[in-house]
Amino acid sequence: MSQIELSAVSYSYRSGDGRALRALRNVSFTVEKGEFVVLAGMNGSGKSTLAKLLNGLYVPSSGSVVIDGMDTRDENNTFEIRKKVGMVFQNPDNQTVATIIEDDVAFGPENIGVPREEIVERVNWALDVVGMSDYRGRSASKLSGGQKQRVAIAGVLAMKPEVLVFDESTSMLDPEGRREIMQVAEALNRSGITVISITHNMDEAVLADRIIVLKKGKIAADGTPKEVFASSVPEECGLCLPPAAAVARELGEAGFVFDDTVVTEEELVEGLCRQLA
Amino acid sequence: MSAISIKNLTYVYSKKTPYEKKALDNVSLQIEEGEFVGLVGATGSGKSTLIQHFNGLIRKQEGEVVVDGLDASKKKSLKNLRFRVGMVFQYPEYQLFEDTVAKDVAFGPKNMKLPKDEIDRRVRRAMEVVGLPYDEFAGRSPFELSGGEKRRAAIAGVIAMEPRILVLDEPVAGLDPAGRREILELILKLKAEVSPTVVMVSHYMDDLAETASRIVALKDGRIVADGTPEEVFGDREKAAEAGLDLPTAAKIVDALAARGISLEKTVVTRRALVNGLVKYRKDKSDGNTKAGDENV
Amino acid sequence: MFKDIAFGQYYPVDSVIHRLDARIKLVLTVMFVVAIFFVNTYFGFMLTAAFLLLVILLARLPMLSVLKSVRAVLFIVVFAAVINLFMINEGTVLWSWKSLHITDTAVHTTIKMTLRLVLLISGASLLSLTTTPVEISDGMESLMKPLKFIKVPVHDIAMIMSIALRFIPTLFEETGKIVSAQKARGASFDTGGLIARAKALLPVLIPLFVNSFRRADELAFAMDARCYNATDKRTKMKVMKLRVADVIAFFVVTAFFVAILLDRYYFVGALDKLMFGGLV
Repeated sequence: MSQIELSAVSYSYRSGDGRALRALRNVSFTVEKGEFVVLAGMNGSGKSTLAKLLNGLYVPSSGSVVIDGMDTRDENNTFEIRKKVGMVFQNPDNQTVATIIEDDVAFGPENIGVPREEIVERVNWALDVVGMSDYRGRSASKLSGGQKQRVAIAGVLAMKPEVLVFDESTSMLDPEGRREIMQVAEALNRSGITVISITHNMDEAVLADRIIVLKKGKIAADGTPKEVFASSVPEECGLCLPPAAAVARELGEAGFVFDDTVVTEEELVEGLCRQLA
Repeated sequence: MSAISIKNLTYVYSKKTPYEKKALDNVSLQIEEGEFVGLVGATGSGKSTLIQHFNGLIRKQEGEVVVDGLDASKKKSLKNLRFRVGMVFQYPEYQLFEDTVAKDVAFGPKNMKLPKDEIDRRVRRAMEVVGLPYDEFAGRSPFELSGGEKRRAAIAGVIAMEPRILVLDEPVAGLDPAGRREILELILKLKAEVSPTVVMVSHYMDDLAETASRIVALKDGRIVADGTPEEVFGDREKAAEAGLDLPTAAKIVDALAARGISLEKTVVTRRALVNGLVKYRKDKSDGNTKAGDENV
Repeated sequence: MFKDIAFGQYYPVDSVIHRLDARIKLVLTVMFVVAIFFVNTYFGFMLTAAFLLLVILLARLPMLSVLKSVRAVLFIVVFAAVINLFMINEGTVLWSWKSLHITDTAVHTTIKMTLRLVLLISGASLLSLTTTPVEISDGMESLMKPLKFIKVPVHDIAMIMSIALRFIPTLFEETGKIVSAQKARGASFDTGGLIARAKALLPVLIPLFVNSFRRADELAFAMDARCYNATDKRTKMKVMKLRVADVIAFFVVTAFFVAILLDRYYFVGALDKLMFGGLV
């Protein structure tokens, strides 16, 4: 059994004028424990809808989403699933409920009735993991975007999740904030947490074990970064190549030859050295 | 006459309270008409405070701000200043408010008290130039547009004032790659057709290296680097001191240099990198042939 | 730049008063306010002023910070004083001009009322100067707990207060941004008549509302994702605990309260006569 199993998931919603719009059509994939998966696609491709299906914020119109054997359509599972699948959202300003940072981190554990002493332990641990312990007594509104998102991650970690979903959590951050969040995500993944990251940023995508590309609610590609970026899918789906891959492609037109698809800067440099040294 | 002339500008927030913070510290800056200035610096380095001095949204405390010949500290030049400096804030789509796109775009020209047919002309032109054809979009609600369209509608609202100077604060933030490319192309088009001087705040060094004619870097309220992208990024020590990320091309140049392949440090764009590598290969093979000739 | 609402008027220094339990401070503030209404002698006012001074010193607050809150209501104080001075007709007339008279009773009443207002506001401001709004809100939730038995949704009210506090700086910041953006398009908010000004606010209010709904929507998702309402047995990380200092503070204020009552009902102005003699 995989940790996350989507089979033939479709999701439609009603638009303002009452028409049914299909955000997802017949999407199936599985994610194993400990994987780092990037979900990519243009705005409106259905990525965020997909994210909200993973912890039962939405339930599929047809098909099923099963987390560790629990079907999200069964309401008795809802809170068990949400404990297991934590979610960090896009806007750093719209996901904290308390003014003081440590109070916000405690919000999740308080909701599920964790005993007091254990909440303190969890809050200490979660703030430590994201490197925000020094700020615990401060107000979140004075923090940078990256710090706010780290607090949001801590708030989710305090629930002890096994899966973390990042729903465009870096898209409103500056490069510094983006690096901070990517480092935290990578560290958490190394410690065994499954990471599913929705992003436009191809620098993040190259770090993943696997990229799933969505186009108009359907899966357009599902493979390793190398497989996906070697294909014509990224362009067709409105994505750009990672910078190094774009350079490699232009060099290819100028007669340079690379043995393998170039995705990272290291691979590009390596490939060039082989030809020029 | 410079488009923007700033001398010894200092600005302090919440003066004389426990929360006092110096946002600008003796900043002097001349921007000439026709320049495309990329303004960079970490969050909190003073970029926003600086650009809001350009159109008098922030009144100067100390120093001198003259924009397009108007003294920004004079109350009577304020209104004119606002119309000569178009300012596109971060996430400008969150400021749309009218029930149709055309009305929203007309807000600026109306405030300028222009005659009605001139307002109409400008609204049409602004909408066409940002790629929202008037006949298709004029009557639609701005709240029903897609993310990218909303942003372009908001930019049209600024462009409709036909400002001589266009200031954009992180215009591509939060967009997907396709949307980002569209907006960058749009800004170059606006510079060519409407506003000859552009100041763009951005965190994307690759974008700035490709588009800006000059980079100005702020750190802790001071200007720490100022020059063409080639000069600013080419001086690696200074760029590091200024806390600047390097464009991808420059990073690759450094990585290649570490492996014994040296290109010019002033290679900062993808185009220049590809050209540089092609030339390097050619020089090398020429050299090899020469060496081969001598051996004969 | 907007000062953080999390700290409101809060004056950030470390002191015994700052460290007192917020619930105790709330209760003591109420006691102080009630006590002030029992004060009716000059001795009583002196005692109150001395007590306040002591608290201000203990709290390490600059005098100016307390006076600032008085300045905010200065108009009301002056207005009430003038009304009192001319409206009270009992007692010996000290001064008169046409139909206006000032009597000795009026002078005394006015002075006492003004003192009462100034001391009241200074005392209440000590609470907000030494306690953050978050602490006040937590303290109120804790004090309201007994109301749960009569089915008052104490937790929900506290949650609403907490979220409101949390979002006020965000909304202020956003308002500032929208105002700047519309000003940059030539909007002006300070010209024209009342209707013109109200109309000029629409370009700010409409986006503010639209954006607030979007925020509320996203916040609701974020709260659901973190299991809000998962169980009735919600726990709390921060449990308020009374300490020795809180108990001492309680006794000090009780002693003050008793002194005020004694002055009023036992000595009945005798102390005033002793101190001020014929003046009173």
